[in-house]
Amino acid sequence: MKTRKLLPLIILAVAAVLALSSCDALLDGIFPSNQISVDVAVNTTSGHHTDFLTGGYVSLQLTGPGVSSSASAYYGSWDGLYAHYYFTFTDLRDGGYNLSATYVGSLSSGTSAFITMPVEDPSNPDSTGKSVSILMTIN
Amino acid sequence: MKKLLVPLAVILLLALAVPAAFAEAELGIGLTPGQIAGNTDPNADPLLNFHIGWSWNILYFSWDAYAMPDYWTYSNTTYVDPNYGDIIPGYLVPSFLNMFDVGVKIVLRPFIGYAEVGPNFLYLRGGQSYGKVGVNVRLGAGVKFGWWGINLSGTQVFASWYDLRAAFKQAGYGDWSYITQGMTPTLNFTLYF
Repeated sequence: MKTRKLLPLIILAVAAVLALSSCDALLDGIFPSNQISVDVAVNTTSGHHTDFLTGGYVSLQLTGPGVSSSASAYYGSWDGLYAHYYFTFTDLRDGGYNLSATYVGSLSSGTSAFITMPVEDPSNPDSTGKSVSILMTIN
Repeated sequence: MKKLLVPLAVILLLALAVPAAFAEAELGIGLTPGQIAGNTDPNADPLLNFHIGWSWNILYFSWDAYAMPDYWTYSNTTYVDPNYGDIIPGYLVPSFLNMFDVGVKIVLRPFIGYAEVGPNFLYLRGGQSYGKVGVNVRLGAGVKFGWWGINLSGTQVFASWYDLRAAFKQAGYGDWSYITQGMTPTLNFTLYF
Protein backbone atom coordinates (compact mmCIF):
# COMPACT_ATOMS: atom_id res chain seq x y z
CA MET A 1 0.00 0.00 0.00
CA LYS A 2 2.80 2.41 0.88
CA THR A 3 4.59 1.55 -2.36
CA ARG A 4 1.47 2.35 -4.33
CA LYS A 5 1.23 5.76 -2.67
CA LEU A 6 4.89 6.41 -3.38
CA LEU A 7 4.62 5.32 -7.02
CA PRO A 8 3.78 8.78 -8.42
CA LEU A 9 6.74 10.29 -6.60
CA ILE A 10 9.00 7.50 -7.86
CA ILE A 11 7.83 8.07 -11.43
CA LEU A 12 8.47 11.80 -11.09
CA ALA A 13 11.91 11.24 -9.62
CA VAL A 14 12.90 8.86 -12.42
CA ALA A 15 11.58 11.27 -15.04
CA ALA A 16 13.49 14.16 -13.49
CA VAL A 17 16.74 12.21 -13.32
CA LEU A 18 16.39 11.07 -16.93
CA ALA A 19 15.65 14.60 -18.06
CA LEU A 20 18.59 16.08 -16.17
CA SER A 21 21.04 13.48 -17.44
CA SER A 22 20.11 13.75 -21.10
CA CYS A 23 19.67 17.48 -21.67
CA ASP A 24 22.29 17.78 -24.42
CA ALA A 25 21.13 14.65 -26.17
CA LEU A 26 17.54 15.89 -26.13
CA LEU A 27 18.51 19.28 -27.55
CA ASP A 28 20.70 17.70 -30.20
CA GLY A 29 17.85 15.46 -31.24
CA ILE A 30 15.34 18.30 -31.40
CA PHE A 31 17.58 20.85 -33.15
CA PRO A 32 19.96 19.22 -35.65
CA SER A 33 19.77 22.40 -37.68
CA ASN A 34 23.14 22.70 -39.39
CA GLN A 35 23.37 22.42 -43.11
CA ILE A 36 26.17 22.07 -45.65
CA SER A 37 26.11 23.58 -49.13
CA VAL A 38 28.63 21.94 -51.42
CA ASP A 39 29.92 23.10 -54.76
CA VAL A 40 31.80 20.37 -56.58
CA ALA A 41 33.81 22.08 -59.30
CA VAL A 42 35.05 19.77 -62.05
CA ASN A 43 37.66 20.51 -64.64
CA THR A 44 39.24 18.40 -67.31
CA THR A 45 42.66 18.57 -68.85
CA SER A 46 41.70 16.40 -71.74
CA GLY A 47 39.30 18.81 -73.41
CA HIS A 48 36.20 16.72 -72.80
CA HIS A 49 34.18 19.72 -71.71
CA THR A 50 31.14 18.61 -73.68
CA ASP A 51 30.90 15.59 -71.41
CA PHE A 52 29.66 17.92 -68.68
CA LEU A 53 26.70 18.84 -70.86
CA THR A 54 25.89 15.40 -72.23
CA GLY A 55 25.08 13.34 -69.17
CA GLY A 56 28.07 13.42 -66.88
CA TYR A 57 27.08 13.89 -63.27
CA VAL A 58 28.61 14.08 -59.81
CA SER A 59 27.72 11.73 -57.00
CA LEU A 60 28.43 13.13 -53.51
CA GLN A 61 28.55 10.95 -50.39
CA LEU A 62 28.20 12.56 -46.94
CA THR A 63 29.06 10.66 -43.78
CA GLY A 64 29.14 11.98 -40.25
CA PRO A 65 27.36 11.93 -36.84
CA GLY A 66 24.21 9.95 -37.33
CA VAL A 67 24.05 10.39 -41.10
CA SER A 68 25.20 8.62 -44.23
CA SER A 69 23.59 9.90 -47.38
CA SER A 70 24.37 10.49 -51.01
CA ALA A 71 23.04 12.70 -53.74
CA SER A 72 23.61 13.15 -57.44
CA ALA A 73 23.58 16.34 -59.43
CA TYR A 74 23.97 17.22 -63.08
CA TYR A 75 25.77 20.23 -64.46
CA GLY A 76 24.71 23.47 -62.76
CA SER A 77 26.91 26.21 -64.17
CA TRP A 78 30.16 26.75 -66.10
CA ASP A 79 32.64 29.51 -65.29
CA GLY A 80 34.92 28.93 -68.25
CA LEU A 81 37.25 26.67 -66.32
CA TYR A 82 35.14 24.53 -64.03
CA ALA A 83 31.70 22.94 -64.30
CA HIS A 84 29.90 23.38 -61.02
CA TYR A 85 27.62 20.83 -59.41
CA TYR A 86 25.61 21.98 -56.38
CA PHE A 87 24.40 20.05 -53.34
CA THR A 88 22.76 20.88 -50.00
CA PHE A 89 22.51 18.62 -46.93
CA THR A 90 20.26 19.78 -44.08
CA ASP A 91 19.36 18.87 -40.49
CA LEU A 92 22.91 17.97 -39.51
CA ARG A 93 24.26 17.62 -35.99
CA ASP A 94 27.50 19.13 -34.77
CA GLY A 95 30.58 17.18 -35.68
CA GLY A 96 32.95 16.34 -38.50
CA TYR A 97 31.71 15.25 -41.90
CA ASN A 98 33.45 13.44 -44.74
CA LEU A 99 32.48 14.38 -48.26
CA SER A 100 33.38 12.05 -51.07
CA ALA A 101 32.67 13.24 -54.60
CA THR A 102 32.78 11.10 -57.72
CA TYR A 103 32.37 12.34 -61.25
CA VAL A 104 30.61 9.81 -63.47
CA GLY A 105 30.78 10.25 -67.23
CA SER A 106 32.81 9.14 -70.20
CA LEU A 107 35.73 9.82 -67.87
CA SER A 108 35.53 9.27 -64.14
CA SER A 109 37.38 10.66 -61.17
CA GLY A 110 36.94 11.19 -57.48
CA THR A 111 38.06 13.37 -54.56
CA SER A 112 37.12 14.03 -50.96
CA ALA A 113 36.98 16.74 -48.29
CA PHE A 114 36.40 17.03 -44.54
CA ILE A 115 34.51 19.83 -42.80
CA THR A 116 33.23 20.44 -39.29
CA MET A 117 30.06 21.96 -37.92
CA PRO A 118 28.63 24.04 -36.20
CA VAL A 119 27.93 27.43 -37.65
CA GLU A 120 30.56 30.09 -37.02
CA ASP A 121 28.60 33.22 -37.83
CA PRO A 122 26.57 34.22 -34.75
CA SER A 123 25.96 37.70 -36.17
CA ASN A 124 23.48 36.16 -38.59
CA PRO A 125 21.14 34.07 -36.49
CA ASP A 126 19.19 32.89 -39.52
CA SER A 127 22.27 31.36 -41.03
CA THR A 128 22.58 27.70 -40.30
CA GLY A 129 24.69 26.85 -43.28
CA LYS A 130 28.23 26.28 -44.15
CA SER A 131 29.59 26.23 -47.66
CA VAL A 132 32.45 24.23 -49.06
CA SER A 133 33.91 23.90 -52.50
CA ILE A 134 35.50 20.70 -53.73
CA LEU A 135 37.75 20.94 -56.76
CA MET A 136 38.19 17.95 -58.98
CA THR A 137 40.15 17.43 -62.18
CA ILE A 138 39.46 14.55 -64.51
CA ASN A 139 42.01 13.44 -67.07
CA MET B 1 1.44 43.46 -0.29
CA LYS B 2 -1.46 43.40 2.19
CA LYS B 3 -3.83 42.75 -0.69
CA LEU B 4 -2.05 39.45 -1.35
CA LEU B 5 -2.52 38.21 2.21
CA VAL B 6 -6.25 37.56 1.88
CA PRO B 7 -6.09 35.41 -1.26
CA LEU B 8 -3.06 33.57 0.11
CA ALA B 9 -4.91 32.80 3.31
CA VAL B 10 -7.92 31.53 1.34
CA ILE B 11 -5.68 29.28 -0.71
CA LEU B 12 -4.05 27.82 2.39
CA LEU B 13 -7.39 27.20 4.09
CA LEU B 14 -8.73 25.46 1.00
CA ALA B 15 -5.58 23.38 0.78
CA LEU B 16 -6.05 22.19 4.35
CA ALA B 17 -9.75 21.52 3.86
CA VAL B 18 -9.49 19.40 0.70
CA PRO B 19 -8.82 15.69 1.22
CA ALA B 20 -5.30 14.42 0.54
CA ALA B 21 -6.72 11.99 -2.04
CA PHE B 22 -6.27 14.74 -4.62
CA ALA B 23 -2.49 14.37 -4.57
CA GLU B 24 -1.21 13.33 -7.97
CA ALA B 25 1.79 13.45 -10.24
CA GLU B 26 1.91 14.64 -13.83
CA LEU B 27 4.07 13.95 -16.84
CA GLY B 28 3.45 15.60 -20.15
CA ILE B 29 4.59 17.37 -23.26
CA GLY B 30 3.47 20.60 -24.81
CA LEU B 31 3.58 22.30 -28.20
CA THR B 32 4.02 26.03 -28.72
CA PRO B 33 3.88 27.90 -32.07
CA GLY B 34 7.36 28.14 -33.53
CA GLN B 35 6.93 31.84 -34.32
CA ILE B 36 7.17 32.58 -30.60
CA ALA B 37 10.93 32.00 -30.77
CA GLY B 38 11.29 34.69 -33.41
CA ASN B 39 11.07 32.57 -36.54
CA THR B 40 9.00 34.46 -39.09
CA ASP B 41 8.50 31.36 -41.25
CA PRO B 42 4.77 30.56 -41.14
CA ASN B 43 5.68 26.89 -41.46
CA ALA B 44 8.10 26.95 -38.53
CA ASP B 45 8.13 23.79 -36.46
CA PRO B 46 6.35 24.09 -33.10
CA LEU B 47 8.45 24.26 -29.98
CA LEU B 48 8.43 21.26 -27.70
CA ASN B 49 8.36 21.38 -23.91
CA PHE B 50 8.53 18.68 -21.26
CA HIS B 51 6.35 18.89 -18.16
CA ILE B 52 6.63 17.42 -14.67
CA GLY B 53 4.07 18.37 -12.05
CA TRP B 54 2.89 17.48 -8.58
CA SER B 55 -0.27 18.62 -6.91
CA TRP B 56 -1.36 18.14 -3.30
CA ASN B 57 -4.85 19.27 -2.55
CA ILE B 58 -5.03 22.44 -4.62
CA LEU B 59 -1.37 23.31 -4.24
CA TYR B 60 0.46 22.81 -7.49
CA PHE B 61 4.15 22.55 -8.32
CA SER B 62 5.54 22.17 -11.82
CA TRP B 63 8.72 22.12 -13.86
CA ASP B 64 8.44 22.89 -17.56
CA ALA B 65 11.44 22.75 -19.85
CA TYR B 66 10.96 24.46 -23.21
CA ALA B 67 13.42 23.43 -25.94
CA MET B 68 14.46 26.72 -27.55
CA PRO B 69 16.38 27.07 -30.85
CA ASP B 70 19.83 28.58 -31.13
CA TYR B 71 18.70 31.92 -32.58
CA TRP B 72 16.29 32.44 -29.66
CA THR B 73 19.06 31.64 -27.19
CA TYR B 74 21.42 34.04 -28.94
CA SER B 75 18.83 36.82 -28.93
CA ASN B 76 18.08 36.37 -25.23
CA THR B 77 21.66 36.04 -24.03
CA THR B 78 23.00 39.02 -25.99
CA TYR B 79 23.00 42.18 -23.93
CA VAL B 80 24.48 45.65 -23.72
CA ASP B 81 27.24 46.19 -21.18
CA PRO B 82 25.75 48.83 -18.86
CA ASN B 83 29.20 50.26 -18.10
CA TYR B 84 30.62 50.66 -21.59
CA GLY B 85 27.65 50.33 -23.90
CA ASP B 86 29.23 47.46 -25.83
CA ILE B 87 27.05 44.69 -27.20
CA ILE B 88 28.05 41.46 -25.54
CA PRO B 89 27.19 38.62 -27.96
CA GLY B 90 25.24 35.71 -26.59
CA TYR B 91 25.37 31.97 -27.15
CA LEU B 92 24.26 30.52 -30.46
CA VAL B 93 23.27 27.13 -29.10
CA PRO B 94 19.94 25.47 -28.41
CA SER B 95 18.80 25.66 -24.82
CA PHE B 96 16.19 24.59 -22.34
CA LEU B 97 14.15 27.41 -20.80
CA ASN B 98 13.24 25.92 -17.43
CA MET B 99 10.28 27.28 -15.52
CA PHE B 100 9.86 26.18 -11.90
CA ASP B 101 6.41 27.26 -10.82
CA VAL B 102 4.18 27.07 -7.79
CA GLY B 103 0.50 27.87 -7.64
CA VAL B 104 -2.96 26.34 -7.43
CA LYS B 105 -4.81 23.78 -9.50
CA ILE B 106 -8.57 23.33 -9.30
CA VAL B 107 -10.22 20.16 -10.61
CA LEU B 108 -13.97 20.16 -11.20
CA ARG B 109 -14.30 17.03 -13.30
CA PRO B 110 -13.75 16.93 -16.16
CA PHE B 111 -12.46 20.49 -16.14
CA ILE B 112 -9.20 21.68 -14.66
CA GLY B 113 -7.71 25.12 -14.20
CA TYR B 114 -4.43 26.31 -12.77
CA ALA B 115 -2.45 29.45 -12.05
CA GLU B 116 1.26 29.57 -11.21
CA VAL B 117 4.23 31.84 -10.83
CA GLY B 118 7.91 31.08 -10.62
CA PRO B 119 11.48 31.79 -11.72
CA ASN B 120 13.07 30.91 -15.05
CA PHE B 121 16.48 29.35 -15.60
CA LEU B 122 18.26 28.76 -18.89
CA TYR B 123 20.28 25.63 -19.63
CA LEU B 124 22.62 26.02 -22.60
CA ARG B 125 23.61 22.98 -24.62
CA GLY B 126 27.06 22.04 -23.47
CA GLY B 127 26.26 22.14 -19.77
CA GLN B 128 26.29 25.84 -18.96
CA SER B 129 23.48 27.52 -17.06
CA TYR B 130 22.54 31.16 -17.59
CA GLY B 131 20.74 33.57 -15.30
CA LYS B 132 18.93 36.81 -16.07
CA VAL B 133 15.95 35.18 -17.76
CA GLY B 134 13.32 36.47 -15.38
CA VAL B 135 10.16 35.01 -13.95
CA ASN B 136 6.88 33.79 -15.38
CA VAL B 137 3.16 33.65 -14.77
CA ARG B 138 1.13 30.80 -16.24
CA LEU B 139 -2.61 30.33 -16.50
CA GLY B 140 -4.12 27.14 -17.85
CA ALA B 141 -7.44 25.41 -18.40
CA GLY B 142 -8.48 22.14 -19.93
CA VAL B 143 -10.09 18.78 -19.46
CA LYS B 144 -9.01 15.69 -17.57
CA PHE B 145 -10.30 12.18 -18.11
CA GLY B 146 -8.94 9.98 -15.38
CA TRP B 147 -5.31 9.30 -16.25
CA TRP B 148 -4.93 11.71 -19.17
CA GLY B 149 -5.90 15.20 -20.16
CA ILE B 150 -5.42 18.12 -22.51
CA ASN B 151 -5.10 21.72 -21.53
CA LEU B 152 -4.20 25.06 -23.02
CA SER B 153 -1.89 27.35 -21.08
CA GLY B 154 -0.74 30.91 -21.49
CA THR B 155 2.65 31.94 -20.15
CA GLN B 156 3.83 35.50 -19.59
CA VAL B 157 7.49 36.13 -18.91
CA PHE B 158 8.71 39.09 -16.89
CA ALA B 159 12.25 40.36 -16.62
CA SER B 160 12.18 40.38 -12.82
CA TRP B 161 10.06 39.79 -9.73
CA TYR B 162 9.69 43.58 -9.56
CA ASP B 163 8.06 43.66 -13.00
CA LEU B 164 5.81 40.77 -12.02
CA ARG B 165 4.69 42.58 -8.85
CA ALA B 166 3.98 45.69 -10.89
CA ALA B 167 1.84 43.64 -13.29
CA PHE B 168 -0.14 42.13 -10.41
CA LYS B 169 -0.55 45.59 -8.93
CA GLN B 170 -2.15 46.73 -12.18
CA ALA B 171 -4.35 43.64 -12.10
CA GLY B 172 -5.49 44.71 -8.65
CA TYR B 173 -6.75 47.88 -10.27
CA GLY B 174 -8.65 45.85 -12.86
CA ASP B 175 -6.09 46.02 -15.67
CA TRP B 176 -5.05 42.44 -16.47
CA SER B 177 -3.41 43.30 -19.76
CA TYR B 178 0.10 43.32 -18.27
CA ILE B 179 -0.38 39.67 -17.39
CA THR B 180 -2.52 38.33 -20.21
CA GLN B 181 -1.59 40.40 -23.25
CA GLY B 182 0.99 38.64 -25.40
CA MET B 183 0.88 35.41 -23.41
CA THR B 184 2.61 32.48 -25.08
CA PRO B 185 0.05 29.75 -25.80
CA THR B 186 0.96 26.10 -25.30
CA LEU B 187 -1.14 23.02 -25.95
CA ASN B 188 -0.33 20.45 -23.29
CA PHE B 189 -0.86 16.70 -23.26
CA THR B 190 -0.63 15.31 -19.73
CA LEU B 191 -0.62 11.93 -18.02
CA TYR B 192 -1.78 11.78 -14.40
CA PHE B 193 -0.66 9.28 -11.79
